[in-house]
Amino acid sequence: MNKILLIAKREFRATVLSKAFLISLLTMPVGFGAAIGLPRVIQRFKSDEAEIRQIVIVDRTPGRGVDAAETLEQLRDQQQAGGPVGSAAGDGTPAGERPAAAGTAVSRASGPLSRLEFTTVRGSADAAEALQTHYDLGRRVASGELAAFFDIGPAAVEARGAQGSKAAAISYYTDKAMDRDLLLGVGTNLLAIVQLQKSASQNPLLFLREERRYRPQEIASLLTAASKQSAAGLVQRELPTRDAAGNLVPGQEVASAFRAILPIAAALLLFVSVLIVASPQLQGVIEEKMNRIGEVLLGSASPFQVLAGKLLGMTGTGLVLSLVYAGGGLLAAKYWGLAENIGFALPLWFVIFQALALLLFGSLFIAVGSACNDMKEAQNLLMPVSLILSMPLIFLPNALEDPTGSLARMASLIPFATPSLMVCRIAATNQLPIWEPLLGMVLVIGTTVLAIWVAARIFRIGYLSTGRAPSLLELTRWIFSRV
Amino acid sequence: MNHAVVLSGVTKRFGRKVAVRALDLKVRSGTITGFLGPNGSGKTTTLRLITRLYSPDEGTVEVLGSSTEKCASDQLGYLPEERGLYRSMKVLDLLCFFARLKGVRSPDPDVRKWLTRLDLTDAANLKVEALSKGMAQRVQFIAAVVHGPRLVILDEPFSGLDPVHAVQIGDAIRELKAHGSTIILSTHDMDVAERMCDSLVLIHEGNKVLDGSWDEVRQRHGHRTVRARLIGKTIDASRLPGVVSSVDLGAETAITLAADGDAQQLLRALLDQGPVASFDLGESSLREIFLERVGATRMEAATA
Repeated sequence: MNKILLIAKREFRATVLSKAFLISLLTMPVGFGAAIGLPRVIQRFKSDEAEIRQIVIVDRTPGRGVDAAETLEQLRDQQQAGGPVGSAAGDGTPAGERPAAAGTAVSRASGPLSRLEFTTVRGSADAAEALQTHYDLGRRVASGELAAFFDIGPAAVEARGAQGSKAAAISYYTDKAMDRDLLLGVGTNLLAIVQLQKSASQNPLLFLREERRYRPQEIASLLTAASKQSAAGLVQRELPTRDAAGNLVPGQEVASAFRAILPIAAALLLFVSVLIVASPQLQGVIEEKMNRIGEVLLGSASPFQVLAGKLLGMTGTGLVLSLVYAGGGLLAAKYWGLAENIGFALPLWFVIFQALALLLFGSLFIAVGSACNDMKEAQNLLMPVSLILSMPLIFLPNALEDPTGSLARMASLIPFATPSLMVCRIAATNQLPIWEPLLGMVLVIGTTVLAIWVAARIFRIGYLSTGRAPSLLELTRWIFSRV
Repeated sequence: MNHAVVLSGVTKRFGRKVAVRALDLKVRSGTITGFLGPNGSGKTTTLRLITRLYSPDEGTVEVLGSSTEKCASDQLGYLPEERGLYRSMKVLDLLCFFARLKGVRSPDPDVRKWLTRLDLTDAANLKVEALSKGMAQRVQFIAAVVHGPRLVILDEPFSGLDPVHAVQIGDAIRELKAHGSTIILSTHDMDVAERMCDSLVLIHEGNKVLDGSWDEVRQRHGHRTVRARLIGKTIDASRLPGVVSSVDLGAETAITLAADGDAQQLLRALLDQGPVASFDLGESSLREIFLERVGATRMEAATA
């Protein structure tokens, strides 16, 4: 075991400290940094241009509504003044007594409001009338007059019932694919405002008021608590249109980008990580073989120890790579306010299946490398391994569309496809029975043990062999022959 | 006497080709044994059988008293004919890695001692790719011996070395022997084999052609040769007693004496043919024995 770990450590260090790996590893954070930093730079230029964007809020709640535009403008003014929320809101609480973390959260959340102007339009609770309003506003968005408009459903402030219904939703309409100012600046604050107004009816301190609701300046001070609300209740919709008959068609709900991206991102990251680390490993084995390092290594350790050490080193490298990529992706998503709470099950299963995929496919890549004298020879023998490796891609669309369906279930229990497909399904739905990933894991472990055994049999002959590469038939003979 | 390596009836095939055929071989402990043979003779296969890189198809291989693969490879040191070093690693790190693989827990002092001894102190922090061929050869030698192995297998250890460092490596090999290590030295350099080895094994076409101490080999397979010249006459070898063969070299004639041939009788016979200008009596060199034995084996194979 000691020799396996020694070889694994050398392999890991040799790869992770190599220039190529460090460059590929650093490219990601640089990419993430650019994704986060560039919009800020652009925003600074934009603010210099003092471009003011108009936002309309269609308030369809009963009574006086939620005073959304007025409250948002107060928040915007506080942000421009650079002072704490409470001091500008005039709630009587000295700024120094306010919890620092909470103040920071609000200040950050209200940051993007600075270049926006708000107008409230009182809308009807009637769906048809509302649709007409939405259509009219949509035309103004399309023409560029408005940046976006928000709709606060008529049941949004109802204390009971209607939770999760369309009438209670806050929707936003824009023709931009993703607008951080709208999502974070207006969307989350609007959610907070509505939540607070909803809670007002339960607040006995407001009993004496004519209408049990907060004043806009009070909202600002209460926003500290509301700022913890995530963007999960915010629903993005496409702009309403007219159909061929001239009837108004409501805008379709746009699925959460994060939820839509997560399964495919996880599955592809797992797949790509295997490719990224297994290919150089194959090349490394060929070089070692041609440089006669293999002969020296096998003079000190058994073929199995050498193979296992290489595999472990490669698995470590692959895990570092995918965890950096996954971590970077999640950080970027969080910055954009897209990262929902993904829990611990997905990361746990991801690490398990990523490690198993690296061991399973890595052993086959190393076996192929040991049997060849150059990359050209290796490419021929890699064909069947590549086909097996690509198997999950065939079933991936189905696993995304219907993660709990029979086809996805069956395909994800084929060991060579299990890692990518199972991770995809776990990310796509929380309805997956625990026995499925567990069974998948057992099957992959069994296949991996078999693959390592086969690889070790090929490796012990191939690593010392010279001359032309063996055919698939010869490789099969190697598996069952003596050294 | 103890034997570090015992091969009994060992045969190794690769497909239809028989690389080693029913080989019986014993290497005495604490000696330097030279492995000789032309390219493709089965020498490297035999070495790989001893290092357990290959398993025999037939027969048994016993190394350091153990005939199973459980025999600690940590007690073996192996210098392959071609360099087997990680090019991107630093010399010190590389040698420590190989030493740890052989079970040395804190290899740093031993590695540094060897680096100093072989004039490589300044190369400790260089990458292998920056080394000359001779330096890389010395690094490879250290990798083979740094863990103090009981059996050291050296395949062409002097390859690429200048005379100064060749002497250094030669001294180091003798010192290993003095400390009780058994050394198997595979080489094409007959002078090295003659000078350093206690016993010799000649392998040709998978068969052992000769085996024994240098004295035994010379006694069994060597000949006395005479280089002679007559004044104004050509030597008539057919009229000389105890002669196996003769070659007319122009100025002189090379005469090979039979095992029981008498040089004094030969000189008298030459004087009978005419006045003798020169008469040099010598013994076969290892090179001559090697060439003769390999040639004889080829002849036997051709007539079989």
